[in-house]
Amino acid sequence: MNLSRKRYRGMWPFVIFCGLAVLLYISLGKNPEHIPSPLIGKPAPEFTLPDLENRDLLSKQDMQGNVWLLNVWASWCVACIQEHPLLNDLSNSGVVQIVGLNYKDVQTDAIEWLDRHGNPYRFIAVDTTGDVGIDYGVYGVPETFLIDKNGYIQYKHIGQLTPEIISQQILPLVDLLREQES
Amino acid sequence: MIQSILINRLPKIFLVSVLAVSILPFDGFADEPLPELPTIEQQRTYDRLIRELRCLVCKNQNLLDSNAELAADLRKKTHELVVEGKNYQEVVEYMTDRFGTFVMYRPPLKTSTFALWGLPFLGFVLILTVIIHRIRKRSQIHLLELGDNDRQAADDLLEKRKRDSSS
Repeated sequence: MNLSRKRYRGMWPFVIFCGLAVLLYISLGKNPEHIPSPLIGKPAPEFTLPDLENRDLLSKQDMQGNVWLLNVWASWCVACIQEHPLLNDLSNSGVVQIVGLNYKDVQTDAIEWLDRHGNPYRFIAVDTTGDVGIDYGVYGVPETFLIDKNGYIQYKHIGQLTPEIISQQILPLVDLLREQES
Repeated sequence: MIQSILINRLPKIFLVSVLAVSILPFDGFADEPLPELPTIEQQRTYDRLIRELRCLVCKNQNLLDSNAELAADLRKKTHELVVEGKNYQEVVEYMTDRFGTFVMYRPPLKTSTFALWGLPFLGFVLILTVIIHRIRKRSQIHLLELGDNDRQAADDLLEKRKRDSSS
């Protein structure tokens, strides 16, 4: 008994090393940019913002009863160009409506950018000051929120969308939320 | 002559000045001065908040240190909220409701952060136990091994040394 205990005592540093290695290996696969949002499961913050043509005031209520995506974008955002074709496809497929939140942008730049890259948005709310962005906890454009019929945030993606995220995360959730009573 | 010495030493001079500048206390960016707060109490709350709140896009800077646009916006928001009469706790809640506890440099103690706060203490206690255990063991060995003969031998040696050094 005593002898075997002594033999295994030398193993402790090795055990600790293995524990740390496993811990670090698990964390390696995680994206440090991905910080869970406290907004998930909560009502999407209210906003009243002008549209891109300055003709109308838009609010969250305009989308009441729909399952919709809120995509935060800007013409100065490089990753937005990358994900934009995906949004165009999604919009063309008619599966889900997309609302744009034009974040801290210049109006003319934004219009020109949409002319060049296409406009997948049902409407675009313009947040020049970034105040609505703060309410939505936006810190890395692009960000995309999935909002249900009752105006609750059900999913949030920070950074560029990918085909995998759309097909594996967003679309299944959209199907699920469609069936929900409003 | 003097010139050549100067040129030879240029890399050193450069290095020293870079180091000198790097240790200067850095008190944030003052590019967009916000109006002073009405009361000292509010100013204090604000100063504390911008030191405690993290700039989310820069990871290792607080709002005071960062010149990122988001940090400037959050400073502005913090200022606004303090002017409105919100206290420290209310502003912290406002920020964590939107950005999560990550926005705080010192995350609050709750179930999800328990390991974060607990593990260092646990490690400390563990190491302390091991050290105490070792010390005890070592003193035990001494007690066992130092018999009367050993003591006598040690005394003799000390005596001898004393004699040698005095002669």
